[in-house]
Amino acid sequence: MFLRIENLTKTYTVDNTTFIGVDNISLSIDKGDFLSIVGHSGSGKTTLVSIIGGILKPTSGRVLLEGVDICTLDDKKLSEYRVNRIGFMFQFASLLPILTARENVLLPGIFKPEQHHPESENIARDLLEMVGIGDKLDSYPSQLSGGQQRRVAIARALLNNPDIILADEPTGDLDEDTEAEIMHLLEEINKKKGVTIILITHNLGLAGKAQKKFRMSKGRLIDI
Amino acid sequence: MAQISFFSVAFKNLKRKTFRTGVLVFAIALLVSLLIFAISFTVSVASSLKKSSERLGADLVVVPVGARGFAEEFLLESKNTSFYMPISIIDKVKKIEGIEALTYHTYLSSISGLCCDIMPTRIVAYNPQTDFIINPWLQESLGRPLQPGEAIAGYGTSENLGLGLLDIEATIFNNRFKIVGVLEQTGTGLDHALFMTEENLKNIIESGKSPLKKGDISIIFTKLKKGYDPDFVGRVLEGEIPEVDVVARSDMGEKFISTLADINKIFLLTTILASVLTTFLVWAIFSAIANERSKEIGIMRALGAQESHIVRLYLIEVLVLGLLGSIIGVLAGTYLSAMLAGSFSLLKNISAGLTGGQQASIALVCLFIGTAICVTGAMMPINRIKKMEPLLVIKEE
Repeated sequence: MFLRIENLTKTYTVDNTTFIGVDNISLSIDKGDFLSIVGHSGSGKTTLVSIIGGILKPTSGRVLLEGVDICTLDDKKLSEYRVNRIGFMFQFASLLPILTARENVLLPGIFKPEQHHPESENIARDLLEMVGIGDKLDSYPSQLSGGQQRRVAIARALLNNPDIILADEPTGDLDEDTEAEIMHLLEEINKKKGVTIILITHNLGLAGKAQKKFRMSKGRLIDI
Repeated sequence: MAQISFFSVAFKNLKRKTFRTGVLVFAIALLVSLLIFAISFTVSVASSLKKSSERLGADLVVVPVGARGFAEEFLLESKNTSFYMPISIIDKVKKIEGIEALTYHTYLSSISGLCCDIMPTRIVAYNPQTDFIINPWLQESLGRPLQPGEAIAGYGTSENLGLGLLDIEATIFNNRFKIVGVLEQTGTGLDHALFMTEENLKNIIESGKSPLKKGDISIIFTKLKKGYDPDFVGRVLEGEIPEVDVVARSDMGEKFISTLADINKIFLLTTILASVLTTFLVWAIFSAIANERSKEIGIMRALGAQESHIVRLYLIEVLVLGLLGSIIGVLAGTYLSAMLAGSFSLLKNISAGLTGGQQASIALVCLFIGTAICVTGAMMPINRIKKMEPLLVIKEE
């Protein structure tokens, strides 16, 4: 099994009151799967993908990627896991405003131990062309539309050739046409590159395009 | 196309708010300027005093009772003072155990009036047979002893006298003197005197215009035999000869040293306050930066940045700020110190000046302190930044 989640639980304690973010979730994902997770705000979707992405530690349970429990990794190993194997897409414009589109795409490269692969510049250019904004290489985020910024974020997520893309409501604030274009891009990446995609969305129409569909409610994952 | 790196991201971050960056650089530059000025001032005074007393080459200086301060003013500053004791004191000093050699000077001041055609200046008469103070300087500058009717100007005297100097003639107390040259700079108060041998004094005394009397001398310089403690011999001298005060080489400039200690305290207090304020300013600004950029930091963490990467990124920003501010501060401080030196009588009077090596050392120390203060102020916010929970800051609105 490529990715296995075992009895994953995350609780938060605020003012002596404990909240459950993720409630004893177990899940198996194959390489190249396209999963969608729908659910109300606060149902635990973002908490779940954050734990899978290694930016949040669970209270209990394990996340095994090819047999390695990422929850036990130290900061260095966990960062290497994120930079090499995960591509994040967030539910907001997540580009650094001081960097151009090209630089934003190249940003994850500086966190790799073997910094600056000589081909990264070409890869970044190719990725931006692939997502349809090859003419915006030197544009700053403030000069790009919301849809163009999401495309840059997709290109950035792909820079290090990740195994998994975690897309947390990546089209939340986009119009329908742009939303469809972004979704199409994700499908292409999944099919052509074999990248596993976990998509979180409110949009049932988008969720329906995934191979495996789940709903989250009160921290629990339900297969739909 | 330029590669992206920690440096390029840090530089772009610094350019993001140029006014804020400018304020920080300016604050650090001000602090470093103050440090440069304070250290340059105290080091130049202290080293000038040390250099002056060493340059005189005497272990003990014997002066009339109560004239210790005048002697220091004459030898270390550029002040015109006259003090005298009978020449017979020399025989008493010679008898003291431990004295190896001695020589003496007679000081007088020229005056404005018909008797003198040069501006009032300090005149030093010495004994060319016994002298070990002036002779070595003469040897360097003139290459021969002074003859009767000849005088040589100290390094700073030519300017004071308004003379072009060299082979001109001057009238001093109705006696004509040929000024045969200028001595090399010695860094002592004697740089501002006019030198002649004591044979000339007889005629000057006879002119009746000078307060000097026959058989008067001003000061005795002594060298001690090896193994004798200057303080001990000084105490014996003062005990045996009640008419004199004795100053050991290490005690020369005591008046300055105590003044300097007070000035140092003021400088120390001011620089500590300025350092604390600058540290606080850096802390406040970097705390604001941490809050402003928390989401970006969360994104970078999600993209694979380690805690050490975040620290590196912000440390580069701090180091660039610190170094830039410190370099500007060093340049401004050095310039100001040079410009303001003339405004401080303490510096003006003691021929103060720093060597290139001293200036470079002070600049390096201040560069380090300025940068270190900047890093210290920023470290707490940077540590907070690196510990931020990525998900929490990413979700923050």
